[in-house]
Amino acid sequence: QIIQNHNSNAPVNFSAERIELQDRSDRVVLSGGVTVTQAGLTLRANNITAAYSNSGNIDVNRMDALGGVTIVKDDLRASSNSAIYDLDSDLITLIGNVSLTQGANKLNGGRIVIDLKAGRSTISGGNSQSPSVPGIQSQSGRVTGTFNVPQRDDKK
Amino acid sequence: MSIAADQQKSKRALFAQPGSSHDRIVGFLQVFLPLLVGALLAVLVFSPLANDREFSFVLDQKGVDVASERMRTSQALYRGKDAEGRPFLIEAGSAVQKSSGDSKINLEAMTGKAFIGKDQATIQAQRADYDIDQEYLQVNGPISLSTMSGYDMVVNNVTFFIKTQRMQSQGAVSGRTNIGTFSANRLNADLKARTITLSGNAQLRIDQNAIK
Repeated sequence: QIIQNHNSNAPVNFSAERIELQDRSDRVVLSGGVTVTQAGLTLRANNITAAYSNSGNIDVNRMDALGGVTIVKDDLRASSNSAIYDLDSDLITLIGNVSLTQGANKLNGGRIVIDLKAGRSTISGGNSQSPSVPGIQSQSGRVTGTFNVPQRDDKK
Repeated sequence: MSIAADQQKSKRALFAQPGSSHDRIVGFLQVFLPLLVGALLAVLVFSPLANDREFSFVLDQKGVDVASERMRTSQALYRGKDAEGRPFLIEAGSAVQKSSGDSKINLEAMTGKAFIGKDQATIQAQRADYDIDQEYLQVNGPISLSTMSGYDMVVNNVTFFIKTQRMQSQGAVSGRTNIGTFSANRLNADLKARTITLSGNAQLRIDQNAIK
């Protein structure tokens, strides 16, 4: 289990050098050392655009992060060129020389999808159906990974 | 003549004798009265030198109760036109104009109506300075703005340019819109386009309370 079920409904805190609230297009554009924190998940990037739906209540649907993306949650560290955090389906898709370390496990690849609900990360080197992210051409990266299987302790 | 009359006459004759009480009184007064007049003259002559109190009277501006403001009205009402020629209205519980040169009027308990794009907005602020010439509201403290279509915000310490429907903060700013609460070093808002730009250590918190 990489991430215990993360609550993507929790309040979201943004901090950045510059934040633009565009009420008409229902989105918030942040730039300049952006940090987003939500219930223990920290997402950092140079630019983040958060789209929300405003049906009386505010529901952040998706965040597109661009440039020097790092994600930290419990003991997971991931970094990539860009990432898309889909809050509605609880998926974070990291694209562009992605590296993910979880305790001793390490994963590298062109594209990693972290499922926050199931706590699983699926990795795919190719750019099969990676969602198109403006400004990032998804390249097919080689997949490498090292896994440390915990030693079975016979005495127990 | 009767005895009484004789007695009466003799008493008066006695009174007229030299050395009677009448003479003594007159003699005393002959001496006392000139003395009294002399003493009085002396007092009058020496009085300005002797006493120390300042008799002179200078109109001291600080002392006098100067009216501190040029105009004080309650229930003030200002009308104007924004850039597109549409009317706006500012009402205030009390309005004080410090001096004639100063175009700023300090308003208390201000409410206003103005157009934001095609939307009509109501503005409220407890204390604001309204500049008659450039028609802007400089608010120290919170100003709340809410439009018919539900766009509402509360911002602290901003200047609201009614003519161009823009808002700018003088310094650090904090506030809330229907999206969430924010704070930053500076705020620049184009209300017509409904964009708020926060710059400098900007923070925003969105409380998602939509139940999925």
